[in-house]
Amino acid sequence: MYCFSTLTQFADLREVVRARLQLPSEADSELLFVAVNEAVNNALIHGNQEDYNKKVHLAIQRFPREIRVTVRDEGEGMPADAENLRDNPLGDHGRGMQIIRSCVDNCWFDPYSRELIMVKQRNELTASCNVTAS
Amino acid sequence: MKIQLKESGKKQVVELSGGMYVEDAAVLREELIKLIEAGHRDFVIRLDQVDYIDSSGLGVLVTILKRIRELDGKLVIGGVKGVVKTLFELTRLNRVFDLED
Repeated sequence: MYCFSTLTQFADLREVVRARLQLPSEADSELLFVAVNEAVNNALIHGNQEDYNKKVHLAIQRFPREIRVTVRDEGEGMPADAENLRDNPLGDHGRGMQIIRSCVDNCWFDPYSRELIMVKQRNELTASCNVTAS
Repeated sequence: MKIQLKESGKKQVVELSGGMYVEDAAVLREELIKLIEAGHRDFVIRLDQVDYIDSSGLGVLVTILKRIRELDGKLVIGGVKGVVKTLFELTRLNRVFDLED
C-alpha cells in the first residue's frame, strides 16, 4: 500500500509503482501504468481537490491471472465524465477517465468507499470496460 | 521534461524531451502562451524525444490548439511515437491535430 498527499510525493514513487505493474506483455505493462498514473492524478486533483491534508491510497494486488489496482481518495469529488469526449476529442474534461477506460480490461468507481478499481489481465486479452457506480 | 525553443523562419519549433507528467504541463502551457502573446502564430511541437505524456499534457496541447485556431494560426505536432502515439489514438486526438513524422 502506498500513501501520499501531493503530486510531488507521487512523482517520487512513480518508478517504484511502475516496477510493480509488470505484466507478460511490455505494452500491457505500459498501459496499466498509464491508467494508474491517470487515476492517481484524478484522485489528488478531482477527488481530494488538491487538499494536501487528505491522502490518496494506492494498493496493487498481483493474482495469477490479473493485476488489480485500487486507488482511494478522501475527498468528495467524482471522476469526470468522459462522455463528452466521444464525439468531441477537443473537450475539456474527462480525458483522464477516457484513458483509464481504454487502458485496462475492467474498472469501476465505488462512490461509498471512494475507490477506483482497475483490473488488467496477465495475458494478451483485450477488452473494454465501463465505469459504473456500485 | 525539457523544453527547447527554436525559430525556423516565422515558425516556432518547440522541442520537448523526457516524460510530460502533470507537474510539467503547467510549465509547458505557460511557455506556449507566452509565445502566442508575443505574436507568434505558426508552431511545430516536436515530441520525438518524449517518452510519456499524460492527460494533463494532452490537455495543454488541446488548449493551445484551440487558442491558435481562434487566432487563425497553425499548430503541427511532430514525431509522435510509442505510448505517446497510442495515447493520441486512444483519445482520438490523432484525428484533430495535424501530425507529421
